[in-house]
Amino acid sequence: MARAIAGDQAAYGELVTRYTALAHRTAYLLGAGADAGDVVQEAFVKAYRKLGTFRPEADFKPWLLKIVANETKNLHRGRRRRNLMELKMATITETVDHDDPGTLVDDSRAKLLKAVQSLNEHDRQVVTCRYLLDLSEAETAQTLNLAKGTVKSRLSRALAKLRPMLEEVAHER
Amino acid sequence: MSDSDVEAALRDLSQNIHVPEPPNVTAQVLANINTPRRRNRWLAALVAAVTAFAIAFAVSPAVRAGVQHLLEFAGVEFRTEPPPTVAPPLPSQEVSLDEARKQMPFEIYLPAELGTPDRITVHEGRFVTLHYGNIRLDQFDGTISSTAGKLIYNEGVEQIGDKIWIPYPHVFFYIDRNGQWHDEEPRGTGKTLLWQRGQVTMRLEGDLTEEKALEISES
Repeated sequence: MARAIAGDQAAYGELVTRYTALAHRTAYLLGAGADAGDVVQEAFVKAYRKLGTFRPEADFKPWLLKIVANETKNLHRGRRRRNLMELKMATITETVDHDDPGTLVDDSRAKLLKAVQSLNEHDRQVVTCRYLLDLSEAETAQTLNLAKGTVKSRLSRALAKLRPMLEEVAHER
Repeated sequence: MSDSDVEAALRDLSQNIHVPEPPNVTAQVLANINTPRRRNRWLAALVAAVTAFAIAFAVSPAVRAGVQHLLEFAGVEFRTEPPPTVAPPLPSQEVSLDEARKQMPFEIYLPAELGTPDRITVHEGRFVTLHYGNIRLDQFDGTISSTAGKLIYNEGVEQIGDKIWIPYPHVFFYIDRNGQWHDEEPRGTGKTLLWQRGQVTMRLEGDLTEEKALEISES
């Protein structure tokens, strides 16, 4: 990291390689869709130019993801495309555990995904960062450029909206 | 059902969402960092310029159009007006040649024609300036695509092979690591020759004739 900040491009290349998958997943899940690759590339170029503003003691991950999130937002702005790219489930596997509500069958997962995507943009973004990208609340706040309190309140509002849907699915089983 | 059940369901979901394979962007990112791209919109050109370092010259639109599409000096942008916000020059620091060599990421070129510089200044690692009496030679990291021929433009701006001659004083602007523009006022007659030597862009300014400047650039 220190070498990359000092302008060592080989060191920066290593950072890019290490963080590409996470940056790509972030762009994709935040709605970049097929443009996720371009977003990631542009984000790394911008990040390089902004390395001078990176505090060495800070955490690189949320600093980078904030740039990725911004690039994704710019993509939408440029195209006047407000709606999210449709996300879908990975290959269908039949795993059922009726005793553990945390593990859903595929159909239920698909419904939950649909419910997440139907949340308003603000709530969906915090849910995406916090749970789908498994970021901490602090990292979520930094990535989305929000206050921690805002993240907390949006998360609890989103969970409250998603709960009835899950209860309905559980009831149907 | 509690919030933690919902959280668990969301975490389970995250393991099962389809995300395409990430592309390998490393090579392209490194190439973009190093290669100035041909741009026609100023905003985009600014982005490209931040990659390395930029000098901008205030010139007429005709000159700008003529020079810009023929020459691609890395980080050199011909402008028709100054950048919107400009800060004072970066602090310069007088250093020894050895120290300057340590600070700059490229080999500093000493034209034989000019001998030993009177003094050497570095500007926060962005560029180095060799001072010789009323002549100065700025050097910074960049690249150029080769072009041939000799074309003469309005206002005396001239292209000689892959070098550019600007026979009148002009403010030059450059950009720092944070994207902030700075300016430097011209000194003396401000005649300038721009050229590329390997990866390094040279800007020779001073009381010079075109012939003398070319001679220096070839020494």
